[in-house]
Amino acid sequence: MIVSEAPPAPFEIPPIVTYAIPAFVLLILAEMIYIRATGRGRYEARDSAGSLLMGFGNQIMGLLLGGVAVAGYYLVYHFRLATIPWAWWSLTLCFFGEDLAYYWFHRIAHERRWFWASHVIHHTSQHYNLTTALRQTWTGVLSLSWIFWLPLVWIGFPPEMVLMFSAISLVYQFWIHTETIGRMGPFEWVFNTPSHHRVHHATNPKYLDANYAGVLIIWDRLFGTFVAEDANDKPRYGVISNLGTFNPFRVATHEWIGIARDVAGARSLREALGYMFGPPGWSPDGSRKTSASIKAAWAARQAAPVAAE
Amino acid sequence: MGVPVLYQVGGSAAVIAVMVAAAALMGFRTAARIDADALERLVAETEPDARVVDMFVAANGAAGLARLGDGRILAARVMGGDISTRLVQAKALRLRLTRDRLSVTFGDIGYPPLHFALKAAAPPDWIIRLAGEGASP
Repeated sequence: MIVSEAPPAPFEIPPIVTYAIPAFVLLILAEMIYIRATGRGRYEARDSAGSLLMGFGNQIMGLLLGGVAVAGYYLVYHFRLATIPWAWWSLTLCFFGEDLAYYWFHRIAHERRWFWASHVIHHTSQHYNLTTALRQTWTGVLSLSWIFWLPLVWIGFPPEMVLMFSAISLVYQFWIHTETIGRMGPFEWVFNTPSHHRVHHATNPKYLDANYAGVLIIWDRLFGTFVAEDANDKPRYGVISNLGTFNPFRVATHEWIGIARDVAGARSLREALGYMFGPPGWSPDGSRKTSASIKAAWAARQAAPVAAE
Repeated sequence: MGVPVLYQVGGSAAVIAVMVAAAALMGFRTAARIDADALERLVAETEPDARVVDMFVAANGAAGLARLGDGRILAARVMGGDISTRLVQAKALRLRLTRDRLSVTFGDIGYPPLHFALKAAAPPDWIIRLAGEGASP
């Protein structure tokens, strides 16, 4: 049993994600009807079933293992640098801090295969609609993805406050998974939007490894990972090697099994570590494709002189 | 697991069933089809500089194989309204050829075996050769 040392919240924190589920359902049905009527966007029943089943599995895993991450938060909080109270200024700081932690979690989840093995699930649909938002990992707790938020509780933000903003971020990110909303003007300068996130889900070389934001796009602009959607380069969704199955168990585990096979065949510790913690696609001889090599090949093709007619 | 949690899980399952049924009822059940043109296009998208030497497409248009000039194989399968591909060295494939079926197995749990019915015609020589070189017994 966890005995909280944190100052109590001055209000009852509602189960934010649970309360949002009816809205998720209604918005998905509304998006389906809109797409049926206008053709702006795509749905495929089996793909949506796959996404929703991945979300269902994520819910089950959260019930079974979510307590491990929460216990980790409280354990680190025990060794905090300060005790930060619930106040308007701490809530403001925690909002920005949580969003920054999300940015780094998300960026590293794309740049290091260990975390990618868990996060890749979210990217395995070749569709981009509101059901894609619910295509979530089953192995996030086991892969220790939650460690990226530990600095916040170590500084002294109450774990409940951090968890509250994580839930708000998750709910915020639901609506940006759609092709039905175009560009959004000045709102896009600061906030993550459907356009920004379409770029993030795209496999077009120029869009790879971009727009990791949760709520605020400012982090991508600050850290040099922002790419704007180009009307002349329509996003193609999925992963570099798209899956050939809708089976949720294969979807959830394929990259982990890939890591296990590669590590089993590694000829040295360096190779094993490279397969586990190198960029996705890393191989000792460079024979596989990484985002960097795909982008470099694409850039070289762009720079190549056009043959005279 | 308490009763409210079970309600929550059961409710989620029911809602998923409703949403998938709604998607199906609205006609969001599409099936792409693979033919020679589609395979050529997929190769051009995957390896812009590659040259297709041979092709083999399933009679039902659900799968296809293209052999490239450098010996690699591009495999394609229909995934609903989309097509999913793998580009691999020929030696990384396991082909099992029987009188009425060709099965191609990949070393990738995310890409289950492809099956081609061979009722109408025998597979081309390059497939038979490939199966002979790397086929499992």
